[in-house]
Amino acid sequence: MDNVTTPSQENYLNHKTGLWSWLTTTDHKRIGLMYLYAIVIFFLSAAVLGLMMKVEKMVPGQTIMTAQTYNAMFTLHGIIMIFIVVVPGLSAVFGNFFLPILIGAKDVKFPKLNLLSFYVYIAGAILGLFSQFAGGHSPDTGWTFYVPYSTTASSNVVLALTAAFVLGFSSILTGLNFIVTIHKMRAPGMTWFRMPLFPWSLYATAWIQVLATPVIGITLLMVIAERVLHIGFFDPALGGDPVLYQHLFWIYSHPAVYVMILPAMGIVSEIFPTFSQKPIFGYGAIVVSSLAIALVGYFVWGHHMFTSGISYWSRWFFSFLTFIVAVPSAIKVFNWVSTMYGGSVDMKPPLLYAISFIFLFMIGGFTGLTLGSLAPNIQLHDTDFVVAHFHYIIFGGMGFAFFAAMHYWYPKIYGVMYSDRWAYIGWGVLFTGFNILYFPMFILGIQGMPRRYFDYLPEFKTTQMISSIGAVILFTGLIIMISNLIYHRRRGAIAPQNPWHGVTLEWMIPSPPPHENFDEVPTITEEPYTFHNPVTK
Amino acid sequence: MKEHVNHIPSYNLIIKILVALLFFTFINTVTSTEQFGTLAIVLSLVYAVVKSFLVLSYYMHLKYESRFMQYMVTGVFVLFTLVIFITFIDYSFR
Amino acid sequence: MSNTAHHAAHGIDRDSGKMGMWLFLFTEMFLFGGLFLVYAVMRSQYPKEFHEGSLELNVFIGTLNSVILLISSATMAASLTAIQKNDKKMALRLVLTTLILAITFMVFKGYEWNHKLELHLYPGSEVMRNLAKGEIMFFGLYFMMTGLHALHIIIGCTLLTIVAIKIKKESINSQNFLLLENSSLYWHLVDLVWIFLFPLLYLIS
Repeated sequence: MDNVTTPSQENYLNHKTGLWSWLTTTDHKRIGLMYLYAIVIFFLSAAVLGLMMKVEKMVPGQTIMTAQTYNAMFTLHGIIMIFIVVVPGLSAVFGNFFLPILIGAKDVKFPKLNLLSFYVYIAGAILGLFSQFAGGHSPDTGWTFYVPYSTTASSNVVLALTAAFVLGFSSILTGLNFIVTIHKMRAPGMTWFRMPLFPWSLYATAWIQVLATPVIGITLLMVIAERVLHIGFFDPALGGDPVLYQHLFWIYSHPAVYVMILPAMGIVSEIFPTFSQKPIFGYGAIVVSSLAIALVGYFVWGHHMFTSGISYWSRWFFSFLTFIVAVPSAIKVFNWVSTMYGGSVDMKPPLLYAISFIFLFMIGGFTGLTLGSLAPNIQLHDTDFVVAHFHYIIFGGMGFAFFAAMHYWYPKIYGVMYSDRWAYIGWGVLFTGFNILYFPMFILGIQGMPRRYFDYLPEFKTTQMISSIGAVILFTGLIIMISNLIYHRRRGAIAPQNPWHGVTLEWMIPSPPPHENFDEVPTITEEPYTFHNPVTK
Repeated sequence: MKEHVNHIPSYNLIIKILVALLFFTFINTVTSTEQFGTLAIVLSLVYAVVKSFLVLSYYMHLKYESRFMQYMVTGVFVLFTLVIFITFIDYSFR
Repeated sequence: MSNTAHHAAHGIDRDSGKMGMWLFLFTEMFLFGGLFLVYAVMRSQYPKEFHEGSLELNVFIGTLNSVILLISSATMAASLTAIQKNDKKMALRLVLTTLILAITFMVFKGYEWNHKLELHLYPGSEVMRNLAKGEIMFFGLYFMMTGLHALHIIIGCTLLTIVAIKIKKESINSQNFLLLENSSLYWHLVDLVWIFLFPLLYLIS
């Protein structure tokens, strides 16, 4: 019965038509899709910037851009990727689309607020782009806006800061909405511990969004105040302290890393049981570790500042907690692997992406510990090692989870199937390119290649070349993967209601889902991931 | 979540709280004008905490809200205190 | 059938609305919290200069404004009680009183800032630049904190005006008063911030 091919007549895509109905929609699914399209466009443009930087570095010396352009490029790349793509990424796209469905609700609690946060997001994104093209110098501070450079540089820093402030506001509103939704909208019978893991991870994420984002808001305001009103909180000449800026910045921006990675962990926690046809191993442990990561992750910000002259005890404390926060992440990895053990594993594209998530996330995680220990940090701080580390976490972790989610839920979102074959090919090219691009950067970093330099010494030539070739391969892989999804949007075979034999609520409704998700509010009577008739191959 | 009876604070109670708040404000100005030294800061903070406790529980109705809401607000204050404390691990030992 | 999705169009249930508001207040707390953190750090670095700086502030006006804000909080709380007792007139009167008190607060605040401007005590001025570093920090914080707080008072005034109109039109009534309740939560938070700002800026010795 599960796999009867029934293209639903009336669904959220054809419920109303026309551009206006999309722009004014309060349907969480449509808002999720609008976020998706915006994010994909921004992601691709920032990826092109990344590619161009890598091309510049293919051979030593200036090739296709000046040093100033390079500085503007890594700044824009960082601002777009962090504030516009990765931080909202999973929760705004898949959170919006699937959170209400997974908890058996018809929408989020505040649908209008949801639409508002989308427009705030768009406004922030436009401001961010505007800062680049508003005349004068494009911002060249890097996405971290470190003082004193950000308070003295002649570029359009104020606009970029305002953009980040506005984007933060959008993030707060989404988080607020999700917390109330999860508290108040769960279907009858869905107790907290019958809730699937993706909503759980969104819950932990939403709390960080609400409690950490305002700190960056006020910090950016203070930098603006310093530039415009000459209130020098961070200017030593006026008695201020530049390190204080770093404290405030990372009080938000470190938890923000968990805003990026927690939903990714939630998504792979959905994928592993489905493709193993087996309940998730250690449901409780995953829930608790999500909350633990959110909590402890709030207190490790100082590990970005080991070389900034913070006190000995402070370094000791932050390094210690950094190691502590690795424990819940490791617990999750063990749980995912154990879920597959003894299951009937079906290596479909979503699972392939989820497994590569674990692989890349672990490399990122271990190198994170290397950076978190005090002694190596002195050597590795501000080198390409750091760049490689956070790309493994953010791109290899969050990015691959995003692709996994895209392949997992694509049939549900659009009601059609993509080509498995092209998905495998795309994955292969992408995964190969990824490692060729970023792994050499670990080596470069250890050898002393500083980050954010547009030129390098001749001895790095070969490694830089390999890394740049990786960038081209990775980009090709992205194109293949995305083309496959776009091409089959119109031409793909009709997707069944439950192509992967999943047991969470989204698979109990037609593909694409009807306008109000459920004809009848479901009643939940058992734990999630209970497979009564596991499909074996 | 269990339904709790909707409690409406009386005018009388509101005025009593106001009197208490004004009293602490007055005391605060007195203890800081005379030379209380470092004690003045501690006292100021204690008064501020007491006053905010009164505002939170009676004017903002936290006393009548669910347990969860009370934990939430307490948690946020604890979190903020921790952030200050951890920042000072740096500044106190430089 | 479509209960949950549609009642959003016409008012949100009280519990959820309040919870959303509280979460929003948390973000406000951390917004000001960032400034309090800067205050704490700077104060620990320049205790003497902060004392000198605070002597420049007018304790009388500060105390007066504290009293005004506390009373306005009480009238706001009382108006919530009134509306629940279905006393529309009283509720409206109390909200308007709150509004007037808020404006009075701003007038005093404006007088105080104006005085500072006359003394050329504002960031970037010649006088300010010649002060000790800690005092520059103190006045920077003074302007930033009271400025942000005043911005919240102004937003609050707008909110109170809307609430007053809605009570008048009876779209806020004894059955449906979430907006009044949330505005009053917001107003109390503004008061709460001042409860900490006042002793830290005006009274530290």
